Amino acid sequence: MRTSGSSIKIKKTVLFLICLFTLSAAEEGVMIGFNFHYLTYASFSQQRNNTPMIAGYPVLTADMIVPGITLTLGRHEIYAGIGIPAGLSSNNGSGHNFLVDEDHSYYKRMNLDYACHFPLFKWRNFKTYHALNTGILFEDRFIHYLSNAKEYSKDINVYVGPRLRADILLPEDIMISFCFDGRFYIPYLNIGSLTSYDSSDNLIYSSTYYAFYYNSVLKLSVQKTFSDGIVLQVGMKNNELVGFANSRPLFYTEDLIHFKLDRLWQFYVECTFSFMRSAHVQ
Amino acid sequence: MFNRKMIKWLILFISIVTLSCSDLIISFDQDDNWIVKDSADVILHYRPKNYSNSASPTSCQAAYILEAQNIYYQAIQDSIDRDYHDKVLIYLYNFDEALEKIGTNGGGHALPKYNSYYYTFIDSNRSITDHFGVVDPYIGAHELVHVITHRTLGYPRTKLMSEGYAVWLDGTFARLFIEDIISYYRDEQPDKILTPDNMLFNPNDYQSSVYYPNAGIFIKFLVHKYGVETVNSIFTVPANELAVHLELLTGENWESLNSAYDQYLQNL
Repeated sequence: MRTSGSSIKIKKTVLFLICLFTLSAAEEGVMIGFNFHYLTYASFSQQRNNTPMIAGYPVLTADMIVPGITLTLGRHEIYAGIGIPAGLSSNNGSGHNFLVDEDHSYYKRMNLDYACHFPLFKWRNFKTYHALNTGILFEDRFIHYLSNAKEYSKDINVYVGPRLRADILLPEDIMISFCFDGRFYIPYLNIGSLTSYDSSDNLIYSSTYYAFYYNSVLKLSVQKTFSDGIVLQVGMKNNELVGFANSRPLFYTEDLIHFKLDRLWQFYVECTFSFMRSAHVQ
Repeated sequence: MFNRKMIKWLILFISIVTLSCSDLIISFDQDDNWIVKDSADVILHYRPKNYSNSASPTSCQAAYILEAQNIYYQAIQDSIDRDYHDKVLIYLYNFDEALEKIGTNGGGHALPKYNSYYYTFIDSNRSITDHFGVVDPYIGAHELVHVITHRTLGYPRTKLMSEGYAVWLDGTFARLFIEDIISYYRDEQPDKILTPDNMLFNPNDYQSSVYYPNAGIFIKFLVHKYGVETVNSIFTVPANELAVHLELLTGENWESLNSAYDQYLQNL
């Protein structure tokens, strides 16, 4: 079997990254955290479509549980979460669902996030970091309208952006942490597909799309480190993702096929185990 | 050139600017102060009395709006020969809040994915009896056409198809019949008569008062000449492929279609 040049390059790059991570782990220690997120998903309608936009009713809603793992290797942090598929509903603004068949509609979500932290400022027990933040988000949404019409939209998106993090160390090994992520989903680094059917199951539309999204994530957490190295953390995240998708990669709207005006609130609990040395970002 | 401290401040500044982006781009309006009035195919959300300094619809006006929208709902399906069975949600904003909240206080816009549209309630308007026989409608059929066509024909790739269908089926622009507007342009302001190429490839070069009536009359011409099923089948075709698609479907080339359209306008 012959292997192409680009395939060898990819393998070498992956091997290099594994070596880098292993070295980092050997030097700074490894932490593995197991977590559960409870997530409320609200995908708003575009009430005003000129800038600044306004998102409003009606809104598609879902409640989801997302089990995940956080791997911390010194300054490197990797998070992977796979949401348990959730039913989809809607709210017209007065609590009624006039849009979707709740028994058949669903929302699925998976994400893989990576951040590499660097110290920014330090003052007594207050430390700040900045980070390069990148990852992959996969979303799959199926709207089964009350009429039996259907719309499937699924996309995989790569993002990149900055992170700011502030840690406040308190007595009793308690730490409060604030974290802000700005994530840019570049049209050339993502792809989606949208297919819709009428109420008689006739295919009426099918297209790929390329989106340009901006995503802000604000995280607040409190953690306690126990004497045996186990860390217990509780926290919440506000996750807002806004943007549009065209039939070709563009930074402006041409033929609006899909859009996201999504607000997610996440509440989570995480239990982290240390291996080798302490892996706190120093 | 830059010392370490300056770089850190720069990183901090760029990060804060970037992270505040979402507030510059979008806000979330979760005002749920609506009266909801249900009907066979349309659900109207409107503001309660004294909600703002502008008039809110009365219960009678809301009922009249629903009655008219239900007429349009069926007429649109008949005109495009497609079935649509979902309820359409209308959010009717008072005049003095509409510009800020939906971006216009002279009309509205549609969100077909959500079976919804937003519109401005204007209490007094120029009197008209539209071609559906509705006397002085508060809301025309335009936005409802967007919802139904996008959900039954797909997402259009051109403004010509999207707005052309809406204006053709509504039949009016700014409460004037499009035939009257185009006849006036033809006789008095011929520079406002647009060619199909103008409408396809430069849609944003013209004011709405010029573009919309032209697009509406062109779609009316296409339906009149080739039948609605042919025009439906080019609804989602990109601008640069539209002429070829039409030629394949009709056997008539783009130049001869342009000549026929010119003749149609002369006889309007």
